[in-house]
Amino acid sequence: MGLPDIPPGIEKKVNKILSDLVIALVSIQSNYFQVNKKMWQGIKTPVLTPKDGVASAPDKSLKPTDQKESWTDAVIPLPASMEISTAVDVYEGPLGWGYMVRGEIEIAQKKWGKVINIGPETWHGHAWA
Amino acid sequence: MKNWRKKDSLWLPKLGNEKGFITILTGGVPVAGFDKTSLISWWSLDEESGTRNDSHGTNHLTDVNTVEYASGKKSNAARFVSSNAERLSCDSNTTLQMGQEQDFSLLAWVYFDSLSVVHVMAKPGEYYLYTPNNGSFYFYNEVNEAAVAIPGGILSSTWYFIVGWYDAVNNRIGILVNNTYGQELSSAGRAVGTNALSLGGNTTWGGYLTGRIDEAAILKRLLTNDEKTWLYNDGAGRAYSEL
Repeated sequence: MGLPDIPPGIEKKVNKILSDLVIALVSIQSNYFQVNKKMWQGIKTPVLTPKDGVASAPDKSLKPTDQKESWTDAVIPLPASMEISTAVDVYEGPLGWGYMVRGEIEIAQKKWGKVINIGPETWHGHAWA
Repeated sequence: MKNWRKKDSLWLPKLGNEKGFITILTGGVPVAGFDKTSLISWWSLDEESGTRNDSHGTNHLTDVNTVEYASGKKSNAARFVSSNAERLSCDSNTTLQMGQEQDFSLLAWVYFDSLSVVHVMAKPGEYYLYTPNNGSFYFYNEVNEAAVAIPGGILSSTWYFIVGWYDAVNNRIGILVNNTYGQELSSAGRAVGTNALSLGGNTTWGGYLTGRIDEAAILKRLLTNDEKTWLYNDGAGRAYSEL
């Protein structure tokens, strides 16, 4: 079961936002880890999950309480407005360090989420569900 | 040697054994113990960062979004910040999945720095120990839930010991807080699933905690009342090394 394509083309559009983010993060995370000995975390933005394909602007000033760099500070490219919320979660587990790019959208009053895992713990990742 | 057991390098007399529950005599006063039979995982949560190891089994918890530490009920506790979506997670596996016919129990100490909707321990689609921030704690098995209101409401800066259980033989679901406030009722059954186990919140429902969790565990059996009392220990709790 995939994301309902309502409005038409929405799945392709939001998947591209996530895949562009993954591409951008590869080099950023590598450099960030070398300096900080941890991965960069991105707080969920927009905070209110967008609904039914209506885009809203991400708040790039958000940052975790234990990290200095926001989305802007870390120079993470996000569109000016987005049909999904996204977050970058970082982890440290028995197999090592990694991170995951999360997407969230609400369609017809149902929340959908997708996680792209980059790192050793493949179980974090899943398609739209 | 069958009437003796070894504990902390000492051989102690095994004077009673009732439903897998060991009683020894100390100074003439019966002291309840804890039977590790069917204990799946015990997380002491003493680590200061990174992976939180399973003291008993192999369900080590991945640190997601940099869970810190603070003073705990026993040694350290894991300290979470909800705005950072901090949590500890473990992939689903057969030891954490509970079949339809499986008795099981969850237990954890929780401490709120601030009150909110919190999923203390949850495996979305299967079982949840949580509070919807209405002054009550709940144990939900995706079909039914047991709930217990705390007189005066749940307070911040206060430790609570929560035990939730599902009795598959008698179709009962129950919850007990601080070995005092409890509810047990009929449950029509329960759901099974394969989502990850998380402490401190989860990506399915949020419910992130600002506060601490300590000495959490999962068993594939029911606890006796004496074991619950022994684990609560008049509010002092028990460390894995005491089991």
